[in-house]
This record gives sequence, structure tokens and C-alpha cells, in this order.
Amino acid sequence: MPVTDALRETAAQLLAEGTVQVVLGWERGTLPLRTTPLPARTVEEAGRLVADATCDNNLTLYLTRLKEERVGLVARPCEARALVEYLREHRVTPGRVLAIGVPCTGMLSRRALEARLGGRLPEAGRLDGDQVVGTAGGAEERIALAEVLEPACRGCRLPDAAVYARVLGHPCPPAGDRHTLLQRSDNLAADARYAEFVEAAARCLRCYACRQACPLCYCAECFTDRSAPAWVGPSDDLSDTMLFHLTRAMHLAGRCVDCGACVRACPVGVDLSHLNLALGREAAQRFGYRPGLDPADRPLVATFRPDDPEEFIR
Amino acid sequence: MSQTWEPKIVAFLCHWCSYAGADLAGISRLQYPANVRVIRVPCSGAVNPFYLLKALQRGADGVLVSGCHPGDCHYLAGNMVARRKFALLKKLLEHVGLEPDRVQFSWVSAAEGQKFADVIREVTESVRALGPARHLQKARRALCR
Repeated sequence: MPVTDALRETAAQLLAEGTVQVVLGWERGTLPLRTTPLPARTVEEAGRLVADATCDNNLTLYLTRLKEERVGLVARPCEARALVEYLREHRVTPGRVLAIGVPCTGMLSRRALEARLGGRLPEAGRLDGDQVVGTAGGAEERIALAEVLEPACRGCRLPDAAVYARVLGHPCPPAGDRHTLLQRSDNLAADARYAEFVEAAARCLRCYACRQACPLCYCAECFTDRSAPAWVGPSDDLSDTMLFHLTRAMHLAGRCVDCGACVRACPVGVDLSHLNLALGREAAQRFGYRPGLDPADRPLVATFRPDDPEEFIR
Repeated sequence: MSQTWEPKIVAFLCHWCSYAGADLAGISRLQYPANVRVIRVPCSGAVNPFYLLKALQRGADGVLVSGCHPGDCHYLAGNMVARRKFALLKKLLEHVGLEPDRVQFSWVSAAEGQKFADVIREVTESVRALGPARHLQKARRALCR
């Protein structure tokens, strides 16, 4: 049975028997190959749920906007890892969320697809098994999904924590270690790395779509929005933009679950997720810490070990 | 400018140890470079990594954070938590191609006036070797004087 059908059936059943009051999932969006989050509260609404490679948003973000006591969360590994962080940070009460695990084939990268369609937006599109069928300029093109995957999905790691209450279908196999993606920047000279950072920061519009899409960027008031004290200038001044991205990366150190929602949300295609990745690797190597695995772990920078390395301190 | 340039260093000193260490260096008449601007903070753990980035943005050539030795923290573990944060910050700066030596850390107790003078000398020299800060700065018109 296709996963969407299984999902609709499971969600309808959970809602009908009252196990949950709402199932948080996705439905088809108004544009081809796009989806939008859907809190399904009735059996009829559950019939609109979908789960496929076009589900951009990380649903865990929307958990705390729901008022219901019992929530069903359609969870891919990305949602599950973010849910572990939410449990760890006491953002949701244990037992409130029933995670419905769905297999993930990796996310379709809209930018990669557009590039394959000659730089044009698809006028129509659908998924057909492991292929994407997109129409642009009247010509239909068939592309293997594996060729137009999001970078984050190429090195996906599954959650080791058993947060799923139900699992539909077979989960996808882990696709490798994302940290190997840092090898390219590791081999660059410092000036070249800085030049790349400046180039990305210069394109950034400071629209904060990355922050809004991020499940772990949930501060009630972001440091960028404060006016007293005004931590970062509000304009698109290059140094302010760089400070914003560096500080956002610091705030996500040991918390980023590498779902890539920030990258997919960016309107100008800035991908600074490697900042989070670099800090994630440091957290793993230096402190043996990996986010999104165990809800019982203490947060990385809220704790310490007496023998933490301090070779950089005079 | 290069002939008269002197590194400008902002030092965040914890109230209980390093600030008292600086005081001891002063009353002991120890000589050290006059390149540091001291900001007293309650604890090295109270130093937000953002402060360091902001200092660099606003014209500092280097930043120093100094606190109590591990185990000596007035608030028991502030410096241990700071140690984790600053290890991550240093890594992040290195990753984006900024010189990690622009941000420096030390443990200086209230009894270590001599160590404080030595640390300031070492930090000043290593920042001097890096030259004037070239990255992260805000346009000159907006700089604090």
C-alpha cells in the first residue's frame, strides 16, 4: 500500500477512535510539487493528508501552535529528531505527541528540479514512484528523484531513538555521514572559506525565512528582533548579516537536527547549513554529543564534563 | 596607519578572579601592554559569544575572555559551561575563515597578577601578528570611537 494511503487510513482511525484530537501532516499545496502543513481534525480532513518527497516543512515546528491535548505527528526521521530535541528541552510534554513514522525517500530539491527544467518553474508536476515528472514550457520531463534530492537528504541519518508510536511502511536506509560534506570546505584555505561566507551573506535578504522554518529556532523573541538592546542592526548591512548567521549557528550548536528546512525555505538559495554541520561535527568529536537521539541527554551547552578539553585556553 | 597601528583588544574579565588578578597586577606595579580595554563581567559563563562577535564587528582587533580556573568558579560551574561555548565559537570562526586567534581565553585567578600581565602580553603580541582586523567589521562611519 502506498504510504499516503496507509497514512490516511491510520490518521482517520486514530481520529475516529479519539486516540488523538488532531493529526499534524501535510496536504497538497496550490502549486505543483508543493505541500502545506495540515492539522487534520476530522476523518474527512485526514483524507487530504499526503506524505511524499515534496513535504518541505518540518512539522515538529507546528506542534506548539496546536492547542489540542493529544496530537498525532506525521514524522519522518527529520521530524522525529526534532521531536527528540523538543522532549529534551521540555518543549512538549512526554505523552502528548503520538509519532506516526512514515518512510522517507529524501526531499525533492526545487532548485535542482528547476535547473533540470532549464531554469523554469514547473507548470505541472507529479511524483511517479522514484521519478519526478515535471512540465515546463509545455515539455514533460522525467527525472529520477535521486538526481534532484536535497543535499541534506544525501547524508540523512535516521533517529536511533524509538520515538515512533506507529511505523508505516519500511523506513529508508541511512544514506551516509553528512559530515563528509564538510570535506570540501575543510580543504579550502581560510580566505577562500571567508570569501564563500561573505558571498552567501551578501545574497541573504535577512527575511528570516530560515529562522521561521527551523523547528529549533523557537525563541519567543529572537535576538535579531530585540530593539533594547539592539543586538544586531536591522538592515541588510553585510556585517550584521554575518553576525546574524554566526549567532544563529551558535544558538543551534548541539541542537540542529540537520533537516534542511532552512535551506528549502530560503527564497534566494543561500545554504549556510554547513555552519550548523561544522558545529554538529565539533559537538560529536569534542564532546561525543549528537542531537536528536536521546531525550534523556542534557543539552550540550547547558552542561559540562570536568575533563572537557581546554587546549585553547591560556 | 600601519606605522601607528596598535591592536585594540577588548577583555571580558570575571569579577571574582581575573578582574582581581588585573587589580593585583596593577598594585604590584607590573608592566603590561596598554592595548586592553577591560569590561568587568560577573562570570566568564555570563559572556555571550555574541558579545565577542559584536566587539569584532565594532572595531576590536582581538577579544579576550578570562575567568576563574576550573573548580574555582564563584558560581560553581560558570566557567566550565563557558569552556564548551567558546570551544564551539572558536570552531565556528575557523570554519567560516575568520582567524580563531582573534578570540582568546585564559584562566587567571585573583592571586595571579604576574600571569595576568603575561597573558596580556601574549595576547597583544599574537593579535599584533595577525594585523588589523579585516573581517566582520561594520562600515567605518558606524564604528564606535
